[in-house]
Amino acid sequence: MKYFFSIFCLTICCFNLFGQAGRYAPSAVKLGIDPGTLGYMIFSEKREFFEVEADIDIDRFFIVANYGLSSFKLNEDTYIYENDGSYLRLGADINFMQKDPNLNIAFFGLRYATSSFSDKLDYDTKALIQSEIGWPSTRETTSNSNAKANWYEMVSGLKIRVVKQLYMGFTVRFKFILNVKQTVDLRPYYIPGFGKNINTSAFGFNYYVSYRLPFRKKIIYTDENKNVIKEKKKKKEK
Amino acid sequence: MDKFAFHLEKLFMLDVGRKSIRFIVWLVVIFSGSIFFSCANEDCVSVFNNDLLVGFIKADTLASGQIEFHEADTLFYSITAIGNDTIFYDSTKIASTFVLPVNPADDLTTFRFEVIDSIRYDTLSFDPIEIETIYYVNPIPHTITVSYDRKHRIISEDCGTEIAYINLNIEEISFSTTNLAEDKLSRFNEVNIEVFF
Repeated sequence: MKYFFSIFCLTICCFNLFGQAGRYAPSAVKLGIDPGTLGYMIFSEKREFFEVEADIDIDRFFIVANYGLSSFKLNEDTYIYENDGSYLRLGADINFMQKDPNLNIAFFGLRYATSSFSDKLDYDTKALIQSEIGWPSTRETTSNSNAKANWYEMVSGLKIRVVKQLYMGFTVRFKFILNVKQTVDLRPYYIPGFGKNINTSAFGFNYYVSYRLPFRKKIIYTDENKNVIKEKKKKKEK
Repeated sequence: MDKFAFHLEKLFMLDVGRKSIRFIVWLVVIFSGSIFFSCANEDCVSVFNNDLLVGFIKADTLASGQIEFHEADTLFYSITAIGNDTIFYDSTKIASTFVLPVNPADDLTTFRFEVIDSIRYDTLSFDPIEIETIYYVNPIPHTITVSYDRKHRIISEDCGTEIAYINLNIEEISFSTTNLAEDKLSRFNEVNIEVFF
């Protein structure tokens, strides 16, 4: 979490120092939260998570970071599986609506994601899928204390301005090239931020409610604006 | 599409354009496809089991001098495992390959093979004929101790858990000539340990 904010603060400082009000100077930071957290908290017994998102604009691009905390539990008759961890996604989006005067965003982007977690499986040996085990039933436990995973994502979505600086939107994710490390005898069933570890690719979906914190006026480079800016430059040169 | 955008704008009081509506439609199509794709992937299938297959093979020297190997039917007084009261095989079951379940709660299992030295048949009565079979069992049983790694996973929430037994190793064996033929336990194995005599 501390790295997440440090990287963001550094990015803002750098762009403020070097991108003095130019085309590529960031104009705002958007901070968002996934309201799905509440839905899962109320309706789901298996999964709980908390996810925040932050992005900063550079012309038609956005540098985006997500950080989440996750908890997943399966409490079946014959086994109990528990998984707790966190995840971080870093990447960039390209905005296809950069000329929109309301600063709505339709984007496509790429992410690198990493997750660290611990998980535990408590199971009954008699209830294994290999039912004829030939041994008396016992209760066994196996776990991973410091497992890691990383993967990549292709994302796409919308962020629509609802009122003033408040935005609502969603992101569809295609997660791929999953790589799980530091596991011993238990293959993790769930990976925070990725989902079920059944295949090396998966789809995901997030809602976001974001608040835009502007620190300068966003210049929208429409064709008309370009001409105005060119004329201004010419006047200055004269 | 324009009408749809207009109604959506009116309904949610949002200033979304025709382009973004197209974008939403595309995303809905992609997302619906992704749900279908992600739901069709959970099968209750496991190729692993905890059966160690011990095969007994006899080597015969032919007149030509060549050695021919063939499966040999073998009889033991009993085959058991340390820590388990179950008798996996007794003197009524003759086989050339014995299916012996390893302990799913431990990384090590020792099997005891009680060898019959001789058999005596006593006739108790002639009418009706009643025969008593007496087995003379060797006081020192043969043993095989195997170690293995257990890899656990949940196949799916409904299917439950499975253990894959891999990296099988013979830790101790009292039979003179043996061979580790396959180091993982699977439904498709023919034999894991070959015992020659």
